[in-house]
Amino acid sequence: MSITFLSPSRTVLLISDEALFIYSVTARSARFVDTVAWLASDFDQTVTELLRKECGGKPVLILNDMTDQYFKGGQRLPNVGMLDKQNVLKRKLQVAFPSYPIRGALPIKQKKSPRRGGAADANAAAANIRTSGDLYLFAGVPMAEPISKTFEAVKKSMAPVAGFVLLPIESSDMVRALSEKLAGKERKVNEWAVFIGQHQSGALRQVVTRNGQLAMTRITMATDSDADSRTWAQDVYQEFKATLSYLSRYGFSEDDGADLMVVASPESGQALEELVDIPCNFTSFTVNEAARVLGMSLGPQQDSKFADALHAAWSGRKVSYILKMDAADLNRIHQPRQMASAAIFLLLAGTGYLGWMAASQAQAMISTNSEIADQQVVEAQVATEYQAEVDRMKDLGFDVKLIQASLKTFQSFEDRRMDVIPLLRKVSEGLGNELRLDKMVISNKTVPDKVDEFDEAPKPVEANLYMSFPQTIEMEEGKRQVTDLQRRLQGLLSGYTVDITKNIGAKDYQEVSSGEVGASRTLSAEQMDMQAEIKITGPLK
Amino acid sequence: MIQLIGTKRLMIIAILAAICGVLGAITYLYLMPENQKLQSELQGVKSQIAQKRSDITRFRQEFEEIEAEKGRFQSLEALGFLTDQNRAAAHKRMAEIQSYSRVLAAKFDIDQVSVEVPETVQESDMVVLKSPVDITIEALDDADVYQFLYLLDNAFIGHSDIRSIELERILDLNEITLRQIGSGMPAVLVRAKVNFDWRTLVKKDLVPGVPVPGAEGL
Repeated sequence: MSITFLSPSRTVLLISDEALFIYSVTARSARFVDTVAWLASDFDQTVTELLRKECGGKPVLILNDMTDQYFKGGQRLPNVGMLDKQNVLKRKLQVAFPSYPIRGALPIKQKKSPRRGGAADANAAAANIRTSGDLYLFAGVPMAEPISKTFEAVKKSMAPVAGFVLLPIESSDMVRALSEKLAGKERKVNEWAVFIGQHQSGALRQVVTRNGQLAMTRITMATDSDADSRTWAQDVYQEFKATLSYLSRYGFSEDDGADLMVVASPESGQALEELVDIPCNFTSFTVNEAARVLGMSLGPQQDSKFADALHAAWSGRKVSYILKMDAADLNRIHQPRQMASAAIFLLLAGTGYLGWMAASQAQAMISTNSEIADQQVVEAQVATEYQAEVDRMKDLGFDVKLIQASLKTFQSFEDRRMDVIPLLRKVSEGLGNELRLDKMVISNKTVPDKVDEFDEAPKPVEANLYMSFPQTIEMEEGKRQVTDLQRRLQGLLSGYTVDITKNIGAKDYQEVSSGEVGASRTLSAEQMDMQAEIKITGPLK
Repeated sequence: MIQLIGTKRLMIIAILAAICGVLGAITYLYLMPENQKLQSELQGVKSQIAQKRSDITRFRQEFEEIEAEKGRFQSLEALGFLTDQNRAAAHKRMAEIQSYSRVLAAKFDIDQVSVEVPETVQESDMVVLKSPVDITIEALDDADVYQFLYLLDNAFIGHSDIRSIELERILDLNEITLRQIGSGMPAVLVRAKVNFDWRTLVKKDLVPGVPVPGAEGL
């Protein structure tokens, strides 16, 4: 059963042998609109008008209840792959109904446990299921004049087409649902269920299901129950007995029991119940009562003894059908409209999306404009603050960059400047009153900017002290004084290295020698022996 | 096809397509580009605000720094660190140092000026002028030479960086020299040769004739 609030709203065209019955089915009601006889002179026009105006152009479901509908059960497909299955099925269906343009195939659920027969039969059946393909019920409908007239009317009405279905097949699940609801929790649902209902056309439709699947259907004419309930009941009972006799061919035994459900007036139902003499669960109800059992609402009905409103409501509210018949003529009408509907749906979705996008963008634009206005206010405030700071800096009368550049540059020069005065003071202190220098050379050596951490620390200052002793002094005494001077200087000059590069009397002259000859200051070898040199190396400061 | 679909459906499709087209055009051709423009404008305003705030913070920081460093800078200005290397001024200052230090004579040669652009001045429009200076000092006492060197370090225009000093005793202090001194004749007992780099900071545009390192391509 379909869910009420999701039920589609449709127009159901119930095709009977006598006339076309039109129902407008909504979630809450199944309203009988009109009957149009096939022989009506303005059939197309009338139906078209009804579909457009009375039914509001709702999607049309064509529910075929004519006598001319043929079934071929037990059609087994060979075991083929998924890709070939549809082609094989289509070909087999064409072979089964070569002259019927409206066809359909319903897969049948197979049960492995046979009720009768021995173990050998069971094994054979199981083996058959394993080795063969799926089992189908084939259905075919000839293109009778009523059907082509209906198609033409639908074509002219411009209404969308929901499909072409067969009433017995689409009602089989309704019969099962009724059977289950009536059984409730008190008893087990019977394997067989028979639904009998007379339509407004007078046709008596019997739908027999076995385990919820259509087992058999019959349509016959019956007398009107309004004339005489007892006569109607006898007619129906005769038809029911005939049906049972057919069913016995399919393995039905009267002892199996069945659910017998009849839509009729209360009097007719009671008359029929009195006649039924086989063991079965007999239920008779009006069409509204049957709908209530199914949980549906049909709304007010002109005559509650006819069952066609129930069939129309059940099929009309379905979301998906058990067997949607393939009709080329209907497809030619249906497919363009379906495409148009799809296009409308897509365009609606597109319109919705673009509308949402446009709204979002417009909202964003308004929001951004507002934010820009806010930020411009902030910017004006900041600009005022900025101008005040600029004015304050101007008032100060100093160039910031000039001050920073000057101070940094001067400091960098100071960092690399040789501080010569402290060195001279220490040397002077080291010499004391006794010793004096002949010459002193101090230089600031260039030191590389980057010094490897494993290299010796750079010593950019180099001072060379030259001194001479009179020849009267003892050599050892002179040496001692030079050595003492070196020690004193080393003690005074922390961080500096003080080395004697030449002591008096030493012959290994390591330094490059220079002098003046031919003048009064020419030194003799003895005088040169009495000269000493001390080298001081160390940091700039 | 129209007979199958119907004029009503076609009209609906056409109207919906038109609405879609109009909405699409409004959205993609006007609203979205306009939004991007507005976003860009907003970012620009925000960026300007951020920049100005950053400048304000910097100004305030610099203002405090200037307040703190103003004294040092004024000292540098007084020292002549921000002057061009006027030779006449150098001559005058050298004479003052000679006079104060009491050395007998100080002969000096100021070599050709060159321009340096150390990292510390790169953000400003200043350059460093450097002139090597050689001085030959003659003195009676080495203490006068030391005084001269001290004044050179602390009182010469701009920054002086002594590269080398050669101090030599010319004559011994004996009777002859004492007599010479006593008679009023200048007796040079000590001679010193000093080489130093003289540096000052000037604006770039004040040294048009001097090549600035790294400015060849300008």
